[in-house]
Amino acid sequence: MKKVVLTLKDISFSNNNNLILENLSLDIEQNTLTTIIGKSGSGKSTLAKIMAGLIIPTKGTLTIWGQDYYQISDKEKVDIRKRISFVFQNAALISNLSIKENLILPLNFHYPEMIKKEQGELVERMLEQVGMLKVINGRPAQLSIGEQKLVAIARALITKPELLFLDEPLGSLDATITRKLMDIIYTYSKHDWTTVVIVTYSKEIITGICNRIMLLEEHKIKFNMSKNKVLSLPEKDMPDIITNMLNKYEFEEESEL
Amino acid sequence: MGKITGVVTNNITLYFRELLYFAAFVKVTIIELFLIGHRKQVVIMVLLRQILFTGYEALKLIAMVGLAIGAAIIIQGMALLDTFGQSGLVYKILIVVITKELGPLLTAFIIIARSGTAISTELGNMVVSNEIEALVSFGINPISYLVVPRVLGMVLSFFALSIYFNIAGLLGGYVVSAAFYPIPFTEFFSNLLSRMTIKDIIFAQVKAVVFGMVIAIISCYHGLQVQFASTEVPWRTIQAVVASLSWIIIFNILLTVLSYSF
Repeated sequence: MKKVVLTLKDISFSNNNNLILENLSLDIEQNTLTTIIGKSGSGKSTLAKIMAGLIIPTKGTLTIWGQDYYQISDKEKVDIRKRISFVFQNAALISNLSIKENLILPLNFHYPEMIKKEQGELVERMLEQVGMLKVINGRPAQLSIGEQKLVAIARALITKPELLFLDEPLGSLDATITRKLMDIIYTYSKHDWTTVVIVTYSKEIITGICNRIMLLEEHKIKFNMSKNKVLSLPEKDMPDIITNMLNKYEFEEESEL
Repeated sequence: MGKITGVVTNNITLYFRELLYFAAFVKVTIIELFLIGHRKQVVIMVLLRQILFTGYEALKLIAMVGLAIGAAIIIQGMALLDTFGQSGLVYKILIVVITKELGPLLTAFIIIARSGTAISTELGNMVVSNEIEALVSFGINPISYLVVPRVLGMVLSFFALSIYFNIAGLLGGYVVSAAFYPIPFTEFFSNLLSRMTIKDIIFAQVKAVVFGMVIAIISCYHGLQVQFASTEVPWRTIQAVVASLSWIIIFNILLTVLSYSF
């Protein structure tokens, strides 16, 4: 039995009287790579943000590493945040900081005792790992969205988080960057102290690197089980969204006129 | 009728809710201002950038306006007061207008137009592009990282700009009076200084501190009130400008009345 790092209990969330999530309960175990899938607008990103403590739900509790997140002090929250990273759908790099400053920001906050030389070396190492060292002095606006996502991953990993959330990390990326990002996420998730939660539509992640799949449908979790169990479901029980993800897109070729 | 009452009640409730939220925002900002020492490594760059933008880059504009106002007072004042044989009063008018009234007020108007709008636009855009959420995800409190250094930078810049405005205004007065009504530099300034009291300077600088704080807090508040869409940003910026102007006028009247009661 693996250790549970995060628990949601009876979570509901509404936005302007619009019900998004209803009475969700789930556990995330340590050293798992869970993907959250569901139709557009089903509340996947909202669920990930609630799990990461970034959105306060209308109802319910969030327990991270055994602590009730909504009841603990601000200082205790900062201690928890030090162990969590979140990569946003649009990268969310701080636009008025350089790439280097973007990576230094969480280090400065969580490790103020770290000397500048050490910080600089760590930043360079992380950027080199994602192949973005060449833009170290650039600004986020000078990069493509794919490059921004690589930098965002480097920024997320620089504090060595134990719990990593990624919201649509592979959206609008070319095949080379997709491959690179998958390698980085996979390598990171192999450490036994890490836990990864990914919101994705990517077939590569679902069939490749993840080991749990959570399907969100009609404001609720339809299932949350191991990848092998999901992929071995009989065709009639397989949810449409997964069938469509796995099937190769086929179309009838028009006969030449 | 019931529908109208409902709408009115709803609007009043929303107004008071926003007022309470603003009061809480001000309270947290003031508390965080005292804790800045603990977070200096993270906020120092934001603070220095704010001082550079508000304090240094506005210097030329402030100096030009100051020179123009000082010159205008001397030209108009000398011509008018000469007819009553009271040309000596022009120094007192120069001090009252430049140092105590127009100086802080015009500096405030320039800072609202230049830095207040920049702050609310920048923060609004940061909300839309999830940058604020990114800060929260690191555990960084957006008020301590974004609001506090901007408030402090604005107050320090306003304090310095108010002094620049005074110097430029009084110099402008001298330049014009030297051209039209020749008077030695030392005599002009000794006449001025003999009529200027410590109280005048203190109240002018108190206004600078209060105005700087008011503009920065209101601009940050409206910027952070943007919810999702970039179309909200200009609307919130306009609200920040209107609210800043209104509160500056109210505080100016209160502080001026207060200065005469001492």
